[in-house]
Amino acid sequence: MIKNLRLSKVFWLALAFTYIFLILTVYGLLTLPQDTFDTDNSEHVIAAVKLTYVRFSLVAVSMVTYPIILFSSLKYAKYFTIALTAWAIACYIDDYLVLYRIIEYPERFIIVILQLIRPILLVCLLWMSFELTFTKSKERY
Amino acid sequence: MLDKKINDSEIGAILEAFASSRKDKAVSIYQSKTFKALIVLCNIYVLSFSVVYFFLKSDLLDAFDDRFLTEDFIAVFDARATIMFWLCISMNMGAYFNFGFKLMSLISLVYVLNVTIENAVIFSGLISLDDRPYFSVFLLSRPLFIVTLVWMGLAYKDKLEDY
Repeated sequence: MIKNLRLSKVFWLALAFTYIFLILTVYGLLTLPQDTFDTDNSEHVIAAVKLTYVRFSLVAVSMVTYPIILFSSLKYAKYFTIALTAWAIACYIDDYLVLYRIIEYPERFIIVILQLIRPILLVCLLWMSFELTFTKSKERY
Repeated sequence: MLDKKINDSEIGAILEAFASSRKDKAVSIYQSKTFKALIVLCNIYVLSFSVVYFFLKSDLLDAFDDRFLTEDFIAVFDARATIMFWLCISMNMGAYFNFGFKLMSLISLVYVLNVTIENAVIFSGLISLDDRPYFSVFLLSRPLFIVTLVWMGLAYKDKLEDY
C-alpha cells in the first residue's frame, strides 16, 4: 500500500518526525506540573497554554485524518499538507514576531526542547509539501 | 549574407509563429466578473483596515478607550497588518501573472483562520465590542472576509492546475 504511493524515504521520515513531535507535545501538555503557573508572568503562561490546547485540538483532528487522505487521494493530500504547513508557519511567525509580548511558554525541559526542534518540524512539513507538489507521476493521479 | 538586418516579411513570419502563444496567454489571464469583484472587495477590506489602523496608531482617530493603544496591542496589530499586507500583495501578483494564486489564497485563508482563533482565545477576556468600535467592525466583518477568500479561490480559473 505504501509502495503504491511512490513517495521517497525522506517523505516517510519527515512524516514520522512530525508525528513524534506532535506526540511529544501532547505528552508535554498532559504532564504539566502544578507549579507551572506560579511564575511572575502567569497570565502570559496561561495564554500560551490555552493557545496550545486550542491548536492541539486542531492538530489531533489532522493527525487522524491525514493518513486517510494520504492513502485515498494524493491530490487532496497535497492541498491538505500545504494548508497544514501554512498553518504551522503562521503559528511559528505569530509566536515569535506577533505574540511574543502576550505569551510565554513554560520553562520546562521538554517544552524547551520542543521549541528548539520546532524549525525542523517546519522543514519536514515543507519537504512533504514540495514532494507532493513537484514529484508526480501518472500512476499517482 | 553581409546584410544581416531582417526585413518586414521575416518580422511578419516571426510574429505569426508566436501568435498562438500570445492568444493562449491572453485567454489564461481572463477571469470571471465574480472573481474580479471578490478580489476588489478583498483589497478594499485589507487596505481600509490598514488605513484605520495607521490613523489610530498616529493619533489621527479617537480610540474611545486608551487601553486599546497599549504597547502589547500595538505590537500585535502592527505585525498582523504587515503580514496581511504582504499576503494581499502576493495574491494580487499571483492573480495578475496567473501563477500560484490558489496557493496564496489557501495560505491567506489558513492565516486568517488562525488569527481569528488566536484572537478569540487570547483576547476574548480583554476586549469589549462596545468599547472599541473600529476593532468590533474588524472582528464582526472577519467571517465575510473568510467567505470572500474561499469564494475567490474557487472562482479563480487556473490554467496551471498544478500550482
